[in-house]
Amino acid sequence: MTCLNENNADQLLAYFEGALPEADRHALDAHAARCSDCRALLSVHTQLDAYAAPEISPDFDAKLYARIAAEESKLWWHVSNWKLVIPIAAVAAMLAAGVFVSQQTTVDDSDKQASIDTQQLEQALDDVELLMPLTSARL
Amino acid sequence: MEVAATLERDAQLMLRVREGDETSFALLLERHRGPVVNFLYRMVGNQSVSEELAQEVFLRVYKSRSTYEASAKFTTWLYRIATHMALNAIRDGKKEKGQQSLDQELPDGRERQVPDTSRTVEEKMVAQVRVREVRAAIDALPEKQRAAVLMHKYQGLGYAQISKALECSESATKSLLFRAYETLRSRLAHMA
Repeated sequence: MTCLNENNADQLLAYFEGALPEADRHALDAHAARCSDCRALLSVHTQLDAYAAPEISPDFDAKLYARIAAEESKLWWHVSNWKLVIPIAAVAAMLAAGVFVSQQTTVDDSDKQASIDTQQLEQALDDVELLMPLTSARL
Repeated sequence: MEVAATLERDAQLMLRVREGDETSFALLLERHRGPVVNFLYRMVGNQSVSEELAQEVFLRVYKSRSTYEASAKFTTWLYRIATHMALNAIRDGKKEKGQQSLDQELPDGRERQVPDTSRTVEEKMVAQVRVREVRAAIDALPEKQRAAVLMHKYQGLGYAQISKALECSESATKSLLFRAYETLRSRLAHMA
């Protein structure tokens, strides 16, 4: 049997997980009895048992549920704000549309007025041009 | 078989949470609170930071309830969130800021729980040293190797699940785990 290495990592992991078939396990144990590196590698899993985690704080759940409640109320505020914002936005949009239409009408009216003024001015100039020969003839 | 049944039960509970059943969330919390806090504790090395992160993990689980699909195993999903949280906290420097010594008391005055089956003072001291050495060896592992070995050794996740939690291939996960155990063997050789 070859030593444990990255290419046969499956064997080591299955050994640790207790999922290695019995015959393979015996073969690996027999190899480890003769090989100090593999023996040390197989014992690492057990060595790690020493590192226990501390007890969880008794107020863990209370803190979590407080955070959940805070998030929920934030979400509720967000949703209820949207409930308010939508009609307000609709009214504002209608008002804005009204103002725009009214401005457009004003713009159209002033455009019309400007066009009339131009026509009148052109007409006046034409009249002047028509009168010019008459005036010079009299002179 | 037992593991499959457990996972299936978690997914069922989560689907009930999705339908608004708060009791199912409490059951999920009861089942996974300890393992998640312990995993995060060993990742960041600080009790209060690990609990804060674990709360964030469960808060995310709760907030994701409406979009939860039982396509992935619940624990895989849970540890993917927890690993992300831990790695971000480490990168943000929370670990360095808050790393606790084993001799330090917890903020509320409780003593750190360390397995203590020894009888004499000397044996207790040896046990304390052993814990410190194991902890230092784990802390010295690169982040991804540490996450992989913690999920494999302490949370009982298989490499297929770990690969999904770490979002890398199964073969990469096997290599990651082998290198982690090999590094630990070399660092803990004097204790064997």
